[in-house]
Amino acid sequence: MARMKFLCDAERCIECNSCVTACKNEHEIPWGINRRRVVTLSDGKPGERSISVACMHCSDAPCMAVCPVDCFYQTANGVVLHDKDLCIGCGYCFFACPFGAPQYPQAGNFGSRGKMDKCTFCAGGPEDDHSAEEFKKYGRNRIAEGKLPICAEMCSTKALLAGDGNIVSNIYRERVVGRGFGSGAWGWGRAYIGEGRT
Amino acid sequence: MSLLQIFEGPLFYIAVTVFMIGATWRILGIIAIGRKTDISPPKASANVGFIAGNLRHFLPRKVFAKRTWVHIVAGYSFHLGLFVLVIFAAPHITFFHDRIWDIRWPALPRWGLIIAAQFAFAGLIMLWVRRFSDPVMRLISDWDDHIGSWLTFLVMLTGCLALQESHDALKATHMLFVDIWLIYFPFSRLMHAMTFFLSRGYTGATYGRKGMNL
Amino acid sequence: MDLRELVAAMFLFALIVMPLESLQAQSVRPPANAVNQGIDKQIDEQIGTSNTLGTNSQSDYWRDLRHGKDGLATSGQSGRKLIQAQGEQWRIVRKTYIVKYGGWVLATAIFLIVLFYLIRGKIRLKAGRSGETISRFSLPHRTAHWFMASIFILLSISGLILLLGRTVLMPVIGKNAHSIVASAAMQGHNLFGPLFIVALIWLTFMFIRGNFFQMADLKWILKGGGLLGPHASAGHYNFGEKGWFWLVVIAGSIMAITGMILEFPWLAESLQLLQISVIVHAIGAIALISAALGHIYIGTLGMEGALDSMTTGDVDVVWAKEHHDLWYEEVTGQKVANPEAEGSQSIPDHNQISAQSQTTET
Repeated sequence: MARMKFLCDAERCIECNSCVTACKNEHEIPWGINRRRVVTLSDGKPGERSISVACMHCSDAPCMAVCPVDCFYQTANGVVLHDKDLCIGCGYCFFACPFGAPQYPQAGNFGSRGKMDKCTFCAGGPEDDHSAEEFKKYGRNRIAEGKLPICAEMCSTKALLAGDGNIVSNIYRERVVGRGFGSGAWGWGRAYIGEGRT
Repeated sequence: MSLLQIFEGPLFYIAVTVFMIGATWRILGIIAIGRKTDISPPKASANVGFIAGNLRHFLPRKVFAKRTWVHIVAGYSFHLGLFVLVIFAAPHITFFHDRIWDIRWPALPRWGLIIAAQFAFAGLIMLWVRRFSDPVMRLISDWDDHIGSWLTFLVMLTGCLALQESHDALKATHMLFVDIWLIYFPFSRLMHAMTFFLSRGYTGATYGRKGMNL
Repeated sequence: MDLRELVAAMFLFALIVMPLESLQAQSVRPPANAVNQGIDKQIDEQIGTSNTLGTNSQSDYWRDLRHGKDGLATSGQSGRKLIQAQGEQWRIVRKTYIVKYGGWVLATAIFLIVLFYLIRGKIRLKAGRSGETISRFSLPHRTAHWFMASIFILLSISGLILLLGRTVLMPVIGKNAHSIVASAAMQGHNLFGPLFIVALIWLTFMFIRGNFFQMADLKWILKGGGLLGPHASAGHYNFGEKGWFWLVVIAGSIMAITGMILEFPWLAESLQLLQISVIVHAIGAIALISAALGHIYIGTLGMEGALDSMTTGDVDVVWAKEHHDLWYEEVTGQKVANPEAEGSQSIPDHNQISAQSQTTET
């Protein structure tokens, strides 16, 4: 079984935010929630880099560990999903997540965050595949359609890669060899600890 | 039919019917008792006294104010909080609209609803604490008072526990207590919500007729 | 005289030590602008204009990002930080220390109370009830106490469900039912939380008089509060009660502050403050609940005649003489005859105790 991973090539990302927009459009995400964000480092300085980041679907996911209602689960592909029916909106996953992935519909008073929303690797949720219920809560289930995440598909410079970790890392290695420099398989050290980096 | 559907469907309509008929019967009963004919010549208007008596009792008497301020504050806090809660909570307005009538009015934002609930809870808890820690209140309280307080508390508590508006089970629990509360209402001292103006008015009218300065 | 001060002291210590550690951790962190200056300088040095093609591996730069250096985000709620490294520490502290040891501390508190009951039994009035009473707590005192007690119990139950529910409750009732309970607990906790502050302020003002340290307390401490031995003299409040009062005031204030930060997240300027608040809030809760268990035990089951002071407000004269002799002398002007002799009586029989355990009010 493939282990699904994201990789953002910092040498290629041009901070166009197409991934953010494509994701919002594909899943009809409400105003105020961004499942993916682009962070620019050393903005306006020499050596500026940008990185697109969403849920990295960690092997040992902190969100899964701290959730007080245990609403997270990991699919056979390694995708970390959550059950919105169980979520109580406490915000603990946001406290624990290294990548700031969990998002909430309200950041309101008296702890009224609403149900957490995050990147699903375009893999929907616990509801039946392609059901209206699933789409409403989690967005489109492209994985069940045999497609890869829309953010990576839409990336204009192919900086953002998504898919089987082996294929992704092969592509990236070829790039590094071709370029003759580069590290920055950004986030892998944290997200995929303990997995063989083949 | 799920429990929630029963509690907010048939059982709710039964409860409302019992509530309406029971309350009407009680009020008509009180009015039907009538009062002794007063043959003395009126010195002033009894009708004005009726209204004045009702209004006057919203404020404490000066001599009592110092001793009773805790339960006056608690009483207003509870009742005003509860009214705001019942009438202006967004889920309630939606419920009334879906189940009873076809009108809507502006709802409180969520934080306003929670603040109203906090006032109501603070007041109710203080009134209940006074009921069992004040020796006089202990003596004059019977099971009806305690059941009334507890039922109201449970209705409010289950309501606030269901604030996430996500689980049917929590909403069903709230609706169940609402139904019980509605059915219990006409047969208990909860009726004071509808009869207080009669007793205040009766006293006021008697005084008014005698020309007593309220 | 009772178990309270032991439990109270234990948790007061824990409460003081743990936030200090958190504070230290916080103070090490440089101010926000310093971080930016730092990283800019670093970039100039390591990458710099001569290095725009990135011919260096830049590993230090990427490693710093892993430890929480800031970037600039153009979208999203999560701000400019690419990786917030404290999340991992927070997870470990919460999962492996707070949830695990917090639960054990509570279990230990219950165990100690049961143990105390088995050893000491119910503390009875040696001279029996006289039927004659003196006033201990006025109606406003009692109202403030029970108002706090009601809010405290509601918050404790809902809070413990959120803290320990996944470990204790979920395996028993299942995920769905637990989610329902947890949702209810969180909504209730958030609603009742601010009322705790009202109750705390009210309680502090009502009970602060007589709760300051006196010389009699020193003797009381040296005698170990008469926990298992002879009676130790005490005024209106003994040192155990004073300790409990100040634990409620101090730990309660910490709970109020951290609770408000969690309830209104926009009050916190950083995610780290929220993370620290969760931890401190949980530690404070464990301390307060454990001490409250002792308080509830000694006020109801553990001591004959104690509950009267909070129900009717009047306590039996014998109770006053036996437990608060200095207060009795102060109020009545009469000397208590030889309080030391009373302590030498034997420990009462347990069967007798359980038969008439609950103190009833008149």
